[in-house]
Amino acid sequence: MSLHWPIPLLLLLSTVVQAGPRVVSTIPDLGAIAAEVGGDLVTVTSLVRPTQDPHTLDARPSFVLDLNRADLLLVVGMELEAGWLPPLQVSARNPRVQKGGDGYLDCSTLIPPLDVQTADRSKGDVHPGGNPHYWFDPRNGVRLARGIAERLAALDPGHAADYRARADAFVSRLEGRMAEWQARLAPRKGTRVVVYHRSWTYLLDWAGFIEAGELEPKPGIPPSPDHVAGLVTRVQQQGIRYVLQESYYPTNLSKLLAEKTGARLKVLPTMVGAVRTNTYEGLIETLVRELTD
Amino acid sequence: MPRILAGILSSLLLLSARPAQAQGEPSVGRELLGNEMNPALSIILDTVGSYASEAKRVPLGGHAPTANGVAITGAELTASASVDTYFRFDAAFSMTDLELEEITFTTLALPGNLQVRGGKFLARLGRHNATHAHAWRFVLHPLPSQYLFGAEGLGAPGLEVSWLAPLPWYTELVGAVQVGGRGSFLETEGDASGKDLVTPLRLVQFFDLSDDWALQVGLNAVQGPSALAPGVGNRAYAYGFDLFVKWRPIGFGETGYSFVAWTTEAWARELEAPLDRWRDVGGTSDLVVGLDKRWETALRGELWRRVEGADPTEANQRAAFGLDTERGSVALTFLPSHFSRVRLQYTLEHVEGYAVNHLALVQVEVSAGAHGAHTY
Repeated sequence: MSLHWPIPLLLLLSTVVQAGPRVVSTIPDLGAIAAEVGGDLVTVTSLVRPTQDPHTLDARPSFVLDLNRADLLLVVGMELEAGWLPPLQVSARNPRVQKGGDGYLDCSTLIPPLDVQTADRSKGDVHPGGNPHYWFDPRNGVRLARGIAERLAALDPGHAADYRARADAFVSRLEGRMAEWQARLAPRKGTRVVVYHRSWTYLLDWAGFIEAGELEPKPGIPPSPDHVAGLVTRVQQQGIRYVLQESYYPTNLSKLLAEKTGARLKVLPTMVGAVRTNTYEGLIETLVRELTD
Repeated sequence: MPRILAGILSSLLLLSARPAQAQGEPSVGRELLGNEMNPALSIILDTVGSYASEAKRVPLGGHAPTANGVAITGAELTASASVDTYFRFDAAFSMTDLELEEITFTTLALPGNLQVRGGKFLARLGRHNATHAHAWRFVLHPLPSQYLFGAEGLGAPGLEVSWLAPLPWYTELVGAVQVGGRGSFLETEGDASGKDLVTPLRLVQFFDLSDDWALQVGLNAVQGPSALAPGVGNRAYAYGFDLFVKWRPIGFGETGYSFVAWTTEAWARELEAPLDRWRDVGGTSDLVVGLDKRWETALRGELWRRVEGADPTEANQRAAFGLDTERGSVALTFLPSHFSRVRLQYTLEHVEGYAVNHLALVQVEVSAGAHGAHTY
């Protein structure tokens, strides 16, 4: 029996000697930006897998371990994680990652929100604080990098200059790419699209596209054939070019809409790590490519 | 000294005057309503329409209709809030029974991966006992749980200590002392002595088998004063094992809402009765299939067997603590949104001494208020 002890002991020691802040992000996009800003100085773990719906994640107990050992928790906020994150935080036994803790960063406080609505569930599963899908706008990517760098600098003041320098480098690179992306998008500005869920509001706002309808009759309510039939006329009359959809929603009705109208269905990656997207820049590049295809 | 005080005060004033807004937030102030610190509230209403083929039947347990027709089987008010940096507060009040089902504080910042929960709470035993009706996949409470821990589940005032082991996989040890119990365990009010305490213990481990597959296993034990003649030192003991396996595919292009989850709880109980010792075994096993975001179906089997001790008689009251039972249920649930559900259930029930009973149930559940969060 005693032979079994060294392995857990080594694992315990390995966690003790690990250097640098341990960052846990709910979605991989925040983690990807934290990895850009933190580099080798931080370790980053993301709870949501890149192809999952972040609204309805299973609160796996293994996530408790991640939060228990975290120095910094990055959340999307605006109640995106309201259905699964709070019990994990409580079970984590880690005061740093509780709301208000120095290791808790609600990243929605770093960006200007869109779609701020009154709290009324008769309008669907609305987010009164604003639309939480803000990471698709690279301008918000810049804001997130700056904000995460400042929090890392506060948590690890010995490396504050490193975090800020890395954030500067990331922002500089991202701003360069933004100019290029905008040039590619410019001929398509004003393009009208239908979306499945209002995940793309920030992306479309940045790209200069127009959201002309949603497959969901209300946020969080799956589309019905009647509602989609109503959209067919609108898509045909307005010359709507694309139907944009997340990979985790069923495609039967969106395919039908595309077939009936000639619009093109684009099933898009929603997070870093999904198809052909290994970095935050890669995610935006993929989205721009799809919108200009 | 006054100069020092003035310096401290002015520093505090300067600190409080610093802009608190994070980058991107509006730079203007916001009028406070005065209720910003109030707990998050939610009200959950369960209405059930039912038909049972037999009027004479074993009582169906907590949150269940007692006669054919329509009944309010649950109306629960929940409240939760951060107390401060160190504590969290949670409460669940049954508006139908006018009873606090749970009211607890939970520590957030104890060292050594420890956590203490105090107040009145449902014991963490198996996967079912600590759950409330709105987390169930069926309309009815399992009968084996009712035989073991009572119609409302084993819950009482007490103190719980849990420890998260520093291992690479999730391992949690939970122990509690509770003043009184339900079901097999004596319900006490107030002046309980040490021998009246109920002590549940649970070891739970979770394994991430892959992104799609997960496994959780639990070992459970609880002992306390027997509900039968505790004055002569009779005790009750229950030992259980629970297993939960879930498959939920998350690949690109999957719907992400389809899943299959299998839950099993198995229990053995020893209950000391006047001049007798009853031994029983039983359990529940269910398979839940999530078809898409709005539809799920479920199948459940329940079994209870008397193993040792006298047969049930009116004099010995054994019937109230578990008769030989076989019960099977199938349920179909429609979820219009995250905040409402409509469920149909058919149950075939055979309990010794009763005729075979066919049950048909329809349940409508609505939740208003704060967005609830679910545990795994």
